[in-house]
Amino acid sequence: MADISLQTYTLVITGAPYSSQAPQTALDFARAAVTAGHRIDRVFLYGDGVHVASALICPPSDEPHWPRLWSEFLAGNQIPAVACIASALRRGLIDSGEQQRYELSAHNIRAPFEIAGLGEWVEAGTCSKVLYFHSGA
Amino acid sequence: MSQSVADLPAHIHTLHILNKTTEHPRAVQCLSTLATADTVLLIENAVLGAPEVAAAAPCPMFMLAADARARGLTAKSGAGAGAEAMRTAPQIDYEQMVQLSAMATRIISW
Amino acid sequence: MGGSRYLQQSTLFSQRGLIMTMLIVIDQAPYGSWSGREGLDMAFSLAAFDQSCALLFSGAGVNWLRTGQQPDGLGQKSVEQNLGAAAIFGVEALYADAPACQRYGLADGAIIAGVTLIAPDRAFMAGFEKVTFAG
Repeated sequence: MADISLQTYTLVITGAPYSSQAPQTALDFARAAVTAGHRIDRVFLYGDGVHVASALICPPSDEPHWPRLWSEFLAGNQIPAVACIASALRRGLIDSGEQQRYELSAHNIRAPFEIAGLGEWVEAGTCSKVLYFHSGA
Repeated sequence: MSQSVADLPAHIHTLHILNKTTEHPRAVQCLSTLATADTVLLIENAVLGAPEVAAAAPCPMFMLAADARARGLTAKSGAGAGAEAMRTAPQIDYEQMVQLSAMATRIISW
Repeated sequence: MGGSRYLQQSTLFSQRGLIMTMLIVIDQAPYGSWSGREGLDMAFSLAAFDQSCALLFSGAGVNWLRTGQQPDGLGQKSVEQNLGAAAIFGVEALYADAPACQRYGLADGAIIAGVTLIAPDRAFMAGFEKVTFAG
């Protein structure tokens, strides 16, 4: 088998949980990558993928809780995670700062996700191998 | 259940990760882009197109075992060339998916 | 169609000496879905951070390039001006899938200026260090 060097990955998720397999495939990949000793520089949510960062998702109890599973994985491995601000705001994924700025009734971003711009994605691309997990639709 | 350590290629120029069935326009575009030094990995719904992709691809093809199993492609039932092709397509797990991605110079998620 | 603008990928690169890094592919039609807009945002962000990038409009995505779009009746904004200014913003090139342009009735004159028609084949795609879709 070929000699495999350790990688630094950025994972970009553009598919929503419960609408696509993107968050599930990405998490299974992420777990395997970390187990194999690779580093995940950050996880970036874009487009419909921002729903992975929702603190208000309530799946049936017999279904995986993708936002929670992702939060636990990220916190447990100390991996930074960003939801793109343009995608997030349009879809009603709000942090406390944006709640104040727009005088909204609540905020609903689940820690450790933070809201930031596409600059985070651009920067990640300069220093890591970026993998995209899109909806299959 | 995946083949015991499916033989992964020694070199991969571009790893194409396809998650769409073969009638999807983007799957069609993916197939037209494959080169002999590449590898194509079928995940999610794309595993259903394994026989077509295997016939069209000039390079090694793999599919994620979890996605094949989910869709009943590893079951012993089903007759004909198509069903047989489904069952014999090389299957890998997420650990090997990571290995493929580490080996590839370039990765395109279609 | 558009014969003089239909360049071989190798000719283009040797003529302009470009070092392409990321190709962003937009293959969905405008206004009915948002992945095209998200692809444009990615391209313009890369350009803003001085990262080399190009846009490829393929399949139904070529319809982003049609002149005379007036989406205000849908409550949406036209990207014609942004695309027209892409070079100024720093996007290296705008490419369009020539066969798809033909399929969608986009002849010379119906396409905004500054777009290069190509065949989105293996050779073309191989010229880019990274190839990405927005979603």
